[in-house]
Amino acid sequence: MGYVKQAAKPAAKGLDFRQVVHKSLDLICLHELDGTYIYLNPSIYRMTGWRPEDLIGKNPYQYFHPEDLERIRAESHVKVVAGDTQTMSEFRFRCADGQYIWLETLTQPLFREGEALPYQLYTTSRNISRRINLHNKLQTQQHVWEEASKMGRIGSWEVDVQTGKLHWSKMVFEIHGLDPTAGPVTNVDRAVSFFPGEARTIILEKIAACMERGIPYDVRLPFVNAQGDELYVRAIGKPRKQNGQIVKIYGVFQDVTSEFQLNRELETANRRLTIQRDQLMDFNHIIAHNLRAPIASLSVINQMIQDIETKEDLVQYQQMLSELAETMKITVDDLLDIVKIRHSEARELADVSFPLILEKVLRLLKPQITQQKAAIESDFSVLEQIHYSVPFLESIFLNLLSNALKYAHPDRKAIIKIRSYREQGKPCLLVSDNGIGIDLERNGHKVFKLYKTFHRHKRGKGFGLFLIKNQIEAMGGSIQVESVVNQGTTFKIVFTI
Amino acid sequence: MPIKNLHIVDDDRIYRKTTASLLRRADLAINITSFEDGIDAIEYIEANACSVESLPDVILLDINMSFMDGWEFVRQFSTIKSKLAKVPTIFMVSSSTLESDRSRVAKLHDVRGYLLKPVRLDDFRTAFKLVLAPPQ
Repeated sequence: MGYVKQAAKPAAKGLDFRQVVHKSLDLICLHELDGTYIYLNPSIYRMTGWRPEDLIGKNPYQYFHPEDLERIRAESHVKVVAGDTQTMSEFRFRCADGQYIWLETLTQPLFREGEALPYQLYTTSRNISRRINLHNKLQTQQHVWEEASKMGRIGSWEVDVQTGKLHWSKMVFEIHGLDPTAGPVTNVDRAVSFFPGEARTIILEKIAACMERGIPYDVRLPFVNAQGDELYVRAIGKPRKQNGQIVKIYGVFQDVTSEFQLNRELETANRRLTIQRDQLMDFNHIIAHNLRAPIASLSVINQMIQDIETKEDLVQYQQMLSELAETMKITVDDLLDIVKIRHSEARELADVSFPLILEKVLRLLKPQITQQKAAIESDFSVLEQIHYSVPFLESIFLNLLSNALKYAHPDRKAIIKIRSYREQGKPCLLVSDNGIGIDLERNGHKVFKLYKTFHRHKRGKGFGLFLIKNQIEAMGGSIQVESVVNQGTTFKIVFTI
Repeated sequence: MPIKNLHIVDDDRIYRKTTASLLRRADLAINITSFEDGIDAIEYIEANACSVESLPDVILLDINMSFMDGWEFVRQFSTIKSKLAKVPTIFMVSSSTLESDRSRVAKLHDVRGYLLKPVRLDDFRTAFKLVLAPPQ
């Protein structure tokens, strides 16, 4: 209790330091130079569960967390004993129940008059466990968020509507392909310049609506970052209001390229499967109707031949048999043509010129064109060639043009227009005529089916459109038809989807 | 009792001939008229709507025809049925073993039954008994 005696002297002037120390909420201690406790105020009990008398004469090093021992010795103890004025340290201290608490301790040397080195040490300590725990929790959360941000390639941003001050998280820089030390892009024009074409218009509208009217947005758009990488991003923005006024816009910015690509692959696979399923159903239908029918007739004829009466009957049945054989041969050959499409070398790609193919097909159709005095108008100025199968493109031109000639309107000169162009980057072909048209309401579902015809007095075989649809689909494209009876028909081909 | 007026509607020439001769030989039908497409058959019925004598008692209707198929024929037939002096009984006749075709036929009120090619005489006999007996 030497300290108390020492401190008692100024108390003579009416200042009761003993009570001040005793009642302080901070832990106040006196130590020998080696740290041994000489005095502890009652706060030690509230903080640690130890009573002062439990610790007096003990060395605090027994209570420090093993991981903190060396740090306390080096950063604080040695310095203070050497006469440095004071040190501040944070460390863990073992309580009576065995649990550790975090203390923040100010350690100061006490000197006797005229001596250069201290004779005792004096400490005041606070329990900072709450603060440390909060700090640790925050750090963990920060870490989890950063990991999630990296894994999900998702960043956050915030903009102050008044000051225009912008904050971007690290991932937002990364998605933009920009260096974070250069700071976020504050210029709106520059910021939206990463969105190409139509996407830029959309994001500008969304941002304006959010800033001015508080309408939140959530859009997925194409994006080309500063490195030239073509991405898809998801941009979400929300307003933050204060007293009814929009003060901030905040949101997240996510790179969803891989998700988008997967989706697109899935869509393509799905489309391919749908086409294959439809083709299988077509085949099912063809076998059930067009192949089974002659076989059924065979079995009927066979039965009838057995109770034949005249020579004429026999000749008649023989004729029927050869007719059936011919029908079946044609059907099987047609089917084989279709099956071959999927596997044939005809699918080999080459740069094909539309004008050249048209020229060749027109030569083939010359007699019909001359006879009909038909006018063929072509425009390949936008898209003169495509990478496609030569025989398939010939087949497409030949079938569409010969149909247009065959179903020309009897009351007017046939005009057939052919035009190639690009739509959303995809090569397309339009073939339209001013012919008699197809009643699509009645026949829409049958236009591209095998052996279906749509004109009563001008029956075709019903093979051409079925053939080219299979060819176009085998190359990953699609064909559609639009028609008005007595006005004309337009076929649209998208070569590759 | 044979069927008095019977129509065969089918685009298969051989089927029309063999069926007609089969039915005649077995005395299952007296007057047999053939049509090679649904459109021809429906036009005949429209033209003879008021004539009990000319209208068919039974129609053997193919499903798969190139211009107007059996489905479209039935659809148009249903719309004019109420104007007919006599309502013919329709049997769908097809080579199709597809369940989708069968179940679609089963849903058509104006079709009495489904006959699968090749149709045997016994199948025709059973079907025609349905015609002569009043519907349940």
